[in-house]
Amino acid sequence: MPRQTRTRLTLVPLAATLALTACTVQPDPPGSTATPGRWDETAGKAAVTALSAGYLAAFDDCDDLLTYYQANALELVTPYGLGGFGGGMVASDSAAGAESGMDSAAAGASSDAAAPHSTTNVQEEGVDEPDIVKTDGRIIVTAVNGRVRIVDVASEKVVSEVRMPGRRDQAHASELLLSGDTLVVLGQEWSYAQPVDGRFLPFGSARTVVMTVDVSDPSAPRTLGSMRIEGSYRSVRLVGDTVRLVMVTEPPGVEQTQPTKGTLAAEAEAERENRELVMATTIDDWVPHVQMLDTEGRATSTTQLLGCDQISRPRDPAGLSTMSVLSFGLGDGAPTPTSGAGLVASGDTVYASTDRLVVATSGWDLWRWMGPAVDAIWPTEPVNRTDLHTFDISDPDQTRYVASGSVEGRLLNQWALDEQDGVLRVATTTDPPGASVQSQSSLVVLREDGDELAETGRVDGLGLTEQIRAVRYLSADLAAVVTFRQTDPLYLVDTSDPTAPRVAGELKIPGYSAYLHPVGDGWLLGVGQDADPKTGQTKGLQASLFDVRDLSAPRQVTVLTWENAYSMVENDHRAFTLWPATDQVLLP
Amino acid sequence: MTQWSEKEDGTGGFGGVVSLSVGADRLTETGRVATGPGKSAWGEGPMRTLVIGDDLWALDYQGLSRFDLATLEGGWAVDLP
Repeated sequence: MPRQTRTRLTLVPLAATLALTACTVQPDPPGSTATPGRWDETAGKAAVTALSAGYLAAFDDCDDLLTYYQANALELVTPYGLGGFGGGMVASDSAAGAESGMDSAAAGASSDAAAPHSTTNVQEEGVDEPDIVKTDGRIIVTAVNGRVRIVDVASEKVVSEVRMPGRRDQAHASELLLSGDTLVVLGQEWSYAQPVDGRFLPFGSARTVVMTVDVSDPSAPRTLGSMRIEGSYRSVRLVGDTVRLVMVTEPPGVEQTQPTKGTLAAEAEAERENRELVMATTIDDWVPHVQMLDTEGRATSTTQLLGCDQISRPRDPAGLSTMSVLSFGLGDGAPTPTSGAGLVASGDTVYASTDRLVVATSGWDLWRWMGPAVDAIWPTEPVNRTDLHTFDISDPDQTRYVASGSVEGRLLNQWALDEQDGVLRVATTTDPPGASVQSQSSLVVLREDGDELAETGRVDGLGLTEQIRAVRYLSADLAAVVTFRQTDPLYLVDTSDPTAPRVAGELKIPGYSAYLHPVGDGWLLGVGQDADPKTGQTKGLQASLFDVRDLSAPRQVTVLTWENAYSMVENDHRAFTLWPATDQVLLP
Repeated sequence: MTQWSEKEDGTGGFGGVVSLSVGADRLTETGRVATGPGKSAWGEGPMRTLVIGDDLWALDYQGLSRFDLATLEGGWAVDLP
C-alpha cells in the first residue's frame, strides 16, 4: 500500500532560526521515503534500554533519532495501532490579520496615560504567565470564546478584534501575554488529515499558533508575524523580553491500521502491517515542525522545529512524544525562534524561575497513551513517579537542557515546584496502588549534579491518607503544604538545610486551602473549601488568615465561609487579585 | 464567586466578586457585587478580576463588568459575544 506523503513540506533554511540552526543536523528533505526492511536490531535494542550512565543523551544525527522513535514504537505497537485515534476533514488555507475599526471613535477617546493597574497573579516575581486577560491600564485584551478583543478602558468599547492566522478561522485563541505594546497570542488548531486505505493517525493532531501583534494603536492592531507548530503548548513564560514556550508534540505523521475482521489471523496481519508502517516512517513523521507565517497569515517556510542533535533522550525511554522548549524574543516583532532544546518525552507541568525552567512528566501522562505497555519501558513504578527536566534560561539567547531526575509520586500543579540557585524543591503525593497502602506526601530537595537532579534531602509522612491540595514556597527556607482528606493539616516545612528538611509546625483545621498567598511577613491567606470534619464533605467557599510568625505554632486567626460557593481561585491562581493600595483581595 | 441555589429553579444563586480586606490580624468581607449581564439564573461567577485606577473590572464568558473599587457601585460594561 502506498504510504501517504506529507505534502508541501519544504525544508527551507529558516533565516530566523539563527542559533537554532547553527548547530543543527537537518534531516533529509521531507517527503523522502525511508527504506524499510534492514532493521538494525542492535541499535533498536539500545534505544529501548535505559542509559547505563548519565541522565540524558543527545542524538548524533537524525538516523539515530529515528531509530530511537521507531524502536520504542515497536515495543508498544498492537494490532490496533499506537496510542489514541484521530480523524476528520481536510481544511484549506485562509488569510489572517487584525480586524480594526470596531469602534474607532471609542479608540480616539482613549487616554494616553495608563492608570495604575493589577497584573496577572504569578508564581515567581519577574516571570510572567499567560492568561485569558491582560491589561496595561489603557486597554484590556481578552481571549474569551476563542476570540481576541481589545477593549478601551476609558470608553468601555471594543475597539478591535485580533484575528488568528488560520484556515477558515479555525485557530482558537487561548491565552495572551502583553509586554509593552507587543501582544502575544497563543492559540490552538487541529489538523484534519485523513489517511487512506483504512489507516488512521493514532496520535493527537493539535497545532499551536503563536502570533505577535503591535497594539500601540489599539484600534488598529498590526500583526507582526506568527508561526504554527505541530503539537500542543503546555505553557509559556515571559522573562524580560524573552518568551519560553513549552511544546509537547505527539508523532504527527505516523499512520497505523487495525484488523478488519475479528479473527486471530486478521489481528496478526494488522500487527505485522503496523510494525511495517512504523519501520517505514521517516524522521518527519515523528519530530515537530514549525511553519513561519507572514503578516497575512501565509506560510513562508516549513522546517523542523529543532535539529536532531538538539533533541535528547532521557535515561529511561519515556514515550513517543517530543517535548520542546522554544525561545523567542519580542524585540524583533515576529515570533522568531532564537534557541531551543528538546527531549523525547512528554510533559504536563511547567514551572519557571528567572533562570530555570522545569518540565515535569507524570507517569500517568504516559499511561494515558500507552496503557499497560508503559510498564515494559518504564521499569520502576511508572505511574507513581514524576520525571523532572530542567532547562537553563538565564541567558535570553540560549535554551540549554541541564539535568533530569525523578521523584516518587505526583505533583499537584506548578506550585509543587520551586527552584533557587540550582536547588529544586518538589512536593509530591504518593498514592500506591492497593487499598491497604496509605497515600502520603513528601517534600523532596534536589540539587543539580552534572546532568542529574540528585536528591539531597526529604521529609516524608505529610498527611497520611491525604493528598496535597496547596503548596506555597514562602522563601528559600520555608514551604507551606496543605493536605486534605477530612481536615486540613497546614504543614510548615523548614528547608533551610537542603539535606534535612523538617516539619517545623502543623495546624489541623476543618476544610482546606487550595491556594495560599502571603499577605505580609508571617501572614498567609488561604482560599479553599470548608468541610465537615467528620466526613470531609465540602460545604462551601472558605477564606482563612493564618499567623505563621511562629513556625512551630501556626494558627488560624480568621475564617470566612460562604455556603454552597466556590471561587475560580481554587483552581487557578491567576484568578486571584490582591490590590495592595487598598489591602483588598478580590475573589471571582 | 459562584454560589449555587438550593431552589429547584436555580434562582437565588450568586455570581460575582467578593471583596475582602486583608492585613496583619485582619480578614473581613467588605462587600460583594454581582457581575454579568444578569441573564443567568444560576449565577455563574466571573473568571478574572482586574484593578485599573479606582475601578474593579470582572471578566466572564459574556463580557466585562466595571465597578468602583471602593463602593462596588457599577455594572455591566462590555459585551464580548
